[in-house]
Amino acid sequence: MEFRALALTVILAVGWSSAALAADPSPSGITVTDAWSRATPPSATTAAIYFTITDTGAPDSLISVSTPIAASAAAHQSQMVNGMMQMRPVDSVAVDSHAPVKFAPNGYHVMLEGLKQPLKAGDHFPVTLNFTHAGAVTTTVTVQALGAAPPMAGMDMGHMGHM
Amino acid sequence: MPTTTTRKADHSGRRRTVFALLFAAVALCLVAAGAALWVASAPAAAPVTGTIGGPFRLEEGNGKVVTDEDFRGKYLLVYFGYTLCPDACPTTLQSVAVALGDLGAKAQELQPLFITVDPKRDTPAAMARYTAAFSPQIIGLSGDASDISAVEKEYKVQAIITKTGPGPDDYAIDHSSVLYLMGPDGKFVALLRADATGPELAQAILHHLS
Repeated sequence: MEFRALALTVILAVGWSSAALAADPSPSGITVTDAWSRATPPSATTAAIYFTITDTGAPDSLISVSTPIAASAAAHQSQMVNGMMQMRPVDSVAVDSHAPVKFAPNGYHVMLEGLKQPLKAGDHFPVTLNFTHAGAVTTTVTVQALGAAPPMAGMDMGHMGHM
Repeated sequence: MPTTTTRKADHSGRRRTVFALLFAAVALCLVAAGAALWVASAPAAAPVTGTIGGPFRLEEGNGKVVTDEDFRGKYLLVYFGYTLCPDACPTTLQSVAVALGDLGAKAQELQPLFITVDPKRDTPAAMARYTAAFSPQIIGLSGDASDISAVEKEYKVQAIITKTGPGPDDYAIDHSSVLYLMGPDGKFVALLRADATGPELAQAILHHLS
């Protein structure tokens, strides 16, 4: 019983702190964190967005993406095929409670096409991810300098305070 | 009832330990196999047939025409890509910049080049602005379509345009994504993985530097 009480306390504490930490808690258990992009060259009309999707609830699927700063946004996957880097749209990306799904360089990313203006380091913009069950989850993307290292998970949102 | 519960808990605890050990063993094997594969596949990221590399005549951002001969005496680290490449190219150039830092003084023996596969949109000036965002040491090169196509052939680079919209400039380019290490004599030394991290890349380069 003591163990259960302790476990419950831990679960509650973790639940509470992750709810407090999560950028975009949704009732379904989907959270999208650490969203970032790179500054683009002056003439660029495309950009990639990266983030981490955590699903603490039932399995779900990311089915579409939108942002007001580009004509279109879609999940893409970069894949090395015989030394060629290929980038292809993906219809959906499955998420479940086993492990967070990371959108990261050389893998999954959201491809923006028809950027209304180039992205500058320090800019912020919203992106909405639509899930089959969770519906729309909106998060804020931080634009990093073009040559900057990808941010470490959890480091760019000021969430590390009490850890 | 309580006894059963306890025993169950014990069992599951022991089972969990066994699983954890098994998992650790399997994970270790996978890591070892992965490392072996990585090492084995690193020099053979793409099929090496015939000679790789050769003479080129391209343009730097300041309008200066450069040829391969201008770089004799230095190792070249050559990467092909384009500035509107949203994912792979900036990731690779960022790793190259980190590797240059890791190499310290040794980096002076090395000249990284970023050659465009998109001469239509990438002017020499655009290439220079782009590479400067990663490291002042990286030189961005462009040229007219025939000069680019010639150097692509010599390096056996494939670049395939995929349309992304109706406009003439709405396209992305699937392209070979490997780093070519060329010797101070201009001859091919090795292919290095373009998806390596900066520190991995520095190690791979050090391995080949005399």
